[in-house]
Amino acid sequence: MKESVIKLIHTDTIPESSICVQCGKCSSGCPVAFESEHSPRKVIRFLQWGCLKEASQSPFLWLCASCQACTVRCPRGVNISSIMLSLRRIAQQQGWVMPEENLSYYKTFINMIKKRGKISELRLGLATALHKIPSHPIEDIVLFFKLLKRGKLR
Amino acid sequence: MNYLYYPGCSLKGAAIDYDESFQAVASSLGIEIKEMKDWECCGATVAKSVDEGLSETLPLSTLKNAEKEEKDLLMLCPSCYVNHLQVSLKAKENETFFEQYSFNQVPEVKQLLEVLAFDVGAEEIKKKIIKPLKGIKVLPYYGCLTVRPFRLGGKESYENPKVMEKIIEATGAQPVFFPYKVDCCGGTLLLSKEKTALKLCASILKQAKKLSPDCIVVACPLCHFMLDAKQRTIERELKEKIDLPVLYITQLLGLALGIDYKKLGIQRLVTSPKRFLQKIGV
Amino acid sequence: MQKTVPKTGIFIFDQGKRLARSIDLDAVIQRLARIKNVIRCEVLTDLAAPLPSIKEDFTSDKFNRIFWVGKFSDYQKKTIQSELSSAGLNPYMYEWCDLEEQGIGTKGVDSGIQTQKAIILIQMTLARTRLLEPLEPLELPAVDASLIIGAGVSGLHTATSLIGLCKKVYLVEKESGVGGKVASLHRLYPRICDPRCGLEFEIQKIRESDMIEVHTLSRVKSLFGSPGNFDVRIEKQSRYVSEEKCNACGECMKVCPAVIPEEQRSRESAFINETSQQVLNSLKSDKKAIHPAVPMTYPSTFVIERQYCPPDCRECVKACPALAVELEQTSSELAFKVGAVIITTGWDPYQLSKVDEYGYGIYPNVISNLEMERLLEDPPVLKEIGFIQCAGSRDERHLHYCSSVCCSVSLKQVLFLKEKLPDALCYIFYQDMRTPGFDEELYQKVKSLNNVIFIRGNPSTVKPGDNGKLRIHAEDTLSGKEIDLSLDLLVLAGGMMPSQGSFEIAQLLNLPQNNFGFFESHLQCHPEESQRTGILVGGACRGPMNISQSIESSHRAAMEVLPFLNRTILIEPKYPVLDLTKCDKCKRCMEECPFLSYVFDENGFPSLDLTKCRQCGNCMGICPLIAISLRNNTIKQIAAQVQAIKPSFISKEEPVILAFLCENDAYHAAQSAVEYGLPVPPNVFFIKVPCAGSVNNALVADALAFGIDGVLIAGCKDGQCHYVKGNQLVKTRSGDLSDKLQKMMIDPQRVRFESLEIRDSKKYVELVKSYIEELRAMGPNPFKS
Repeated sequence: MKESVIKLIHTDTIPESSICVQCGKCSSGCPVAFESEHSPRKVIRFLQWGCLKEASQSPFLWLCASCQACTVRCPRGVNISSIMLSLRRIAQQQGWVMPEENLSYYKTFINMIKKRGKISELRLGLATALHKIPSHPIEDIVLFFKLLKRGKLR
Repeated sequence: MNYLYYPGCSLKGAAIDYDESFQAVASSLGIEIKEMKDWECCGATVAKSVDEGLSETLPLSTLKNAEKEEKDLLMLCPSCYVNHLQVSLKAKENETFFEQYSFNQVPEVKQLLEVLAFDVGAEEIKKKIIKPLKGIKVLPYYGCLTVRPFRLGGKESYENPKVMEKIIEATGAQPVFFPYKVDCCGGTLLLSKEKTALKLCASILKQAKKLSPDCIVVACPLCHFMLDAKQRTIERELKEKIDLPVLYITQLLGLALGIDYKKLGIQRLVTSPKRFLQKIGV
Repeated sequence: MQKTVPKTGIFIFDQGKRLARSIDLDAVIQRLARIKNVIRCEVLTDLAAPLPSIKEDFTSDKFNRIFWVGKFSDYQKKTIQSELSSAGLNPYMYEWCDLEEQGIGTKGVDSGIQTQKAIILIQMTLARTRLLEPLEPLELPAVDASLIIGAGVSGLHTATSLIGLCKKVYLVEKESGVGGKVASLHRLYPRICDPRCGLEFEIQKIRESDMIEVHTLSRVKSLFGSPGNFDVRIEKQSRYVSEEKCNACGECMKVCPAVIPEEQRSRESAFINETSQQVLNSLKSDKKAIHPAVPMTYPSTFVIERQYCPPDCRECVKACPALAVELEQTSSELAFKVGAVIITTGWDPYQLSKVDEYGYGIYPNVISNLEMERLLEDPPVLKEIGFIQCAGSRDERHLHYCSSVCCSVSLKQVLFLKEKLPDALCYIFYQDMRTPGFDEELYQKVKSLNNVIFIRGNPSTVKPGDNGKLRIHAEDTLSGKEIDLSLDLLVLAGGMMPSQGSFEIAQLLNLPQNNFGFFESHLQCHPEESQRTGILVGGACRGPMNISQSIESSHRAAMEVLPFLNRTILIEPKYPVLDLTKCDKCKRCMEECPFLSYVFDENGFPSLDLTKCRQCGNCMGICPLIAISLRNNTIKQIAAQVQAIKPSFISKEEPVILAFLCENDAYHAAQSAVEYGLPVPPNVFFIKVPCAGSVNNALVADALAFGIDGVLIAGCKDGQCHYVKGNQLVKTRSGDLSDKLQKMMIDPQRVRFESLEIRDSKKYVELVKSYIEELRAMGPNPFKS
């Protein structure tokens, strides 16, 4: 941790994290906890130390699927899902998003809503595929045609 | 039971068969609906990740509409359901949104499973079944947002919900106890973190396969896409054959209610339901 | 009440001539001597010499009451008291007035003012003394038997304590035998002893005593009356076996065809494998419908659970050589009187099926720590065992608190398990290891064992693994690494909650429970109390605790019960008396009494149960018609003291404050302020009261109407009052008081409520000073003459 100042951060936008006792139940049930070097518990720990920047630059943030498993199981009632979403927003507002995080999906989605009020999955899928090549491109192309044939792409 | 039906983006896109099968079974089950015409996207998890104000304004417009129509909202997509319910709960605490708007009568927001299990009821459904699905093993998969965090109106368990099982039993089929039924399929990450999403989905399908059901049944369009449309990709990841048809709960109900499978959009399923349909004699 | 002329003797004890340095004692004596019916009024510099003449004057009825002015040591007070008693003076006929504790002698205050204040203080005490009456304590007849509800380890120990002191005991237990939860444990640490050994030791004493009646399969049906004289009715369920004839030979069990079915443990049979089947087998009980008493075989009579008998089956009747089976038995009732009740209803394990993420009740090899005790008797061969600590505890969705024993229990279980299965691999998932005191050794011992791994991290869910094993996925928070395990058995260390029996008794007897359902009164100082006089609590029904603590708790309860078991109850004469001619049955005294000491009499008036009353005076404080007075501290006496305060002793611009100080805490703060030489302003007069809640609004209004500038009421902090909530009651009445004062055109700001702890002397001085400033700013009380 870079900051050596210990202080607890309570801002209006981030839900309470000081009551967390670091029991690890959130990480244990999180489907993506071990996909990066940070687990949800670690991110909360950074917040307890007042390391807001470090927390909002955590790779875990953009891996969170918002599945709420952590929040409903937390014995202290910490709203972990909300904290992750708050940190995502703060990271963007403060310009702290790490360059390796590709937020093109989010940008495309928001633009689409602002323009049309609705999402076209086809357009969204295509736009994202252009920014980042999917892991099974052939399967995806086959799927594209299957979905088209079945009238699932509007 | 008269609702204002909010479809949401998926239901009119890749999950068109969910919409079709729902509309096909609704009247048989006594659920009257008026479909919303001008609706806005709920924002999914994306709006919340970028702009808190936007994540509230979007569901707000739907709620205002419902207040005007004096109807409660019915949603099929659990993500839309959670987003709208969250804002409606804030509204109930007499919040004035953006210093402009406050509600006189906050409309209720319900998810389909809630309506099927508690408003219609398993007993009623059973009475209407024409073609009981005897001998069929159905694996219910709830995913995250059906039960978390609102527990279908506070009436269900977070870890071991039973609504789908009750509905499946009502159709005459046999529900399978699936220990991973509330584990996340990774749907929200499909377009942003594809590898991780596939990993999560693969784990669900692998565990489901072990229990050898005849089909999987879901209530969420995103889960359906992952388990059904992406099944081939996952078979490649796992290097093992899954070959499990994934149906919407309304499609299963529709079949048991004797409705023609084409009206239920079953021909639109990506993973072939042929064997399943043969087994039930369609 | 005879109308006696109050003839008073006033004796000012000025040891070492200290008072004379600050005040003009001659002026004081002169002033006092002029007062009617002050027979003697003099300054003493020594005690021993004058005492005989004082006694003489008393016995010859020159005066009938005395008060002493000055500082007296405890020894001096005791000497005076015993001398006067021997002369026949009733102990409630004399008063003490310490001038110095009220600030007389403080440096920097004008001697004239001090002298005037001293005179007022003495006049206050005189006003009170004039109204004194000789009081005698009451002796009410009482029963020297006690009722103990619950025959677990606490109940048994309480019983043996009391019968050891030759007090009769009725021990009531709802199961068919005694022993409670402790009897179902496997072994205890550190002696590795069987818990039934210790229980048997107590049972032996009970067996041999004729001072105790043990009633099993019994519940308390009703309890009425008061401490010293409770009327109890219990209901005894049928045993269907004669207590006189059955000698536990067991012939009946051999022929009984009905086995009591085991509770459905596993809902999902798909997860049963060889190991989990063995676990299920170890937990089966094979109890027949007719069986010995459980948990322990005292009484020795067998019992039949009729609901499991096949219809028309009479096998046991035929087989019994003593003809002891009586299938036509019906339940019976028993009534008796006791002097006191001790509740030892113990605990129940928290229902772990509610913690649904751990799969208890779904997977057969997920068991509770209590079930683990049974398994340890004869464990199946297990290779990998996991323990999850804090399962359903310290959790806002389940039990909020820590049950304090579960960490030690799990460690103990690991120790015994490793003795029976040395190659087993044990994993302990914990948040904190709470092993206070000497249990630290247990922790170190287990840590040093081979193949025992401690993981700091709470698993989130339990999933079925291959071959009926259990899959646990967790984060080791100390290393941040991912843990993935496959276990044969998972033990959930669940917590303790108040038992079903505790809730039933709380309902029946209207006993207050804390937020978690445990009985609680004043936890710090009186852990055995229940807020109902004569009803005490002991053991785990009071809070989660281990066996030694339960035993200590039960002995404490037994001790506290003794005063009620003396065949008479001694009532101190300072109890409240209600003037029925003034009462309008508003019932506020009944509602506010912290100990529920008032009941309705046959005419609907409140009637005080003297044995329940703690003489705190809260009823006197609340009565809107001032119909209640504590004897020896009556409304008239206090009013007389208030009226004796003449604000003219000090200049008109200086505010005069009257403080009511609770005698347990606030009073000592004021007294020690003087002892430490803190600059206590002379503006304040204080009156000691038993509890802040005993101050009646009428007295406050009176004081202000008489020209006093400000009234201060000081009591304990919230949660600290020894009468439960006296300080809070004062605050809740403040609304009424404001209304009253406003009607009298008095500014309600002239009353302040403060909390003072026993050593808050600095706070007291600052309080008084700031209050004086406030009152100066308000200006003098318009009622000041």
